[in-house]
Amino acid sequence: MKFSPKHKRVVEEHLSSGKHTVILDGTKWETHIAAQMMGIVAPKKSKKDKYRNKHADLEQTLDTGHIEDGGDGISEE
Amino acid sequence: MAYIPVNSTAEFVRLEINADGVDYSGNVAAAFDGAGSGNVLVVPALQDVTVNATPGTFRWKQLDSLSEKVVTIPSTNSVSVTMVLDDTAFFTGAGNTSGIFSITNNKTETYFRLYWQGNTSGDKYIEGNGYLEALAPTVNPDAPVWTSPLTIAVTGDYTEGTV
Repeated sequence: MKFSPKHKRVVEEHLSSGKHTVILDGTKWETHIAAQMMGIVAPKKSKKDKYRNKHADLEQTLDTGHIEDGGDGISEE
Repeated sequence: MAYIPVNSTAEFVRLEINADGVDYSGNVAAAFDGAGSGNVLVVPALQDVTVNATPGTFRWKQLDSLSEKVVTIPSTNSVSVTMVLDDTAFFTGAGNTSGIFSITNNKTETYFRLYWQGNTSGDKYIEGNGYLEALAPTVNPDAPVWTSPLTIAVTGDYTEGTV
């Protein structure tokens, strides 16, 4: 779907007023999904992404040799 | 004050009709948003649209007055458009709604909804029911695409609504 400035304005209004759904050219959207597609708000990270990011942090930590307490039990000593 | 421009994406005039044979007179909106939504035909390629909402008047003169007196009588309402004929809209239709030619030919009661400036949240529309009339498709060598006027003779009142 091609979004116009009018669509963007309507979605922004719906976001600010807390309305969960918005109709754009006859199609009902969840407001936050439409806002993400228009770039008004950043896309929510999925659980998969969150896991990957966490894992990436861990790898980086191992590379630097610094492990914080409360991690996964791996220790340098 | 705000104008109602219709010259850009998401602001186009849109005319929907539903002639699926169901009686929606108690709730015209159901013909478009509810049970009848699968039988809605969008009239495509509009070239002009005129909404007529004319209260009738009865006028008389009296010997004791310098000016006419007026009372209203029931309104005459209609929606007139000119359209470029589209094969699907004209002959096939949508769902249980026949094509515009069949609806006119069979004098099927037709529910309509006219969006003034697109159908996005907050946009205004009017709706009602009536009968299609004044179909007069024409074509000629200098304008070799079929076009036709179409009028919806509205029975009863218009209803105003917001998307």
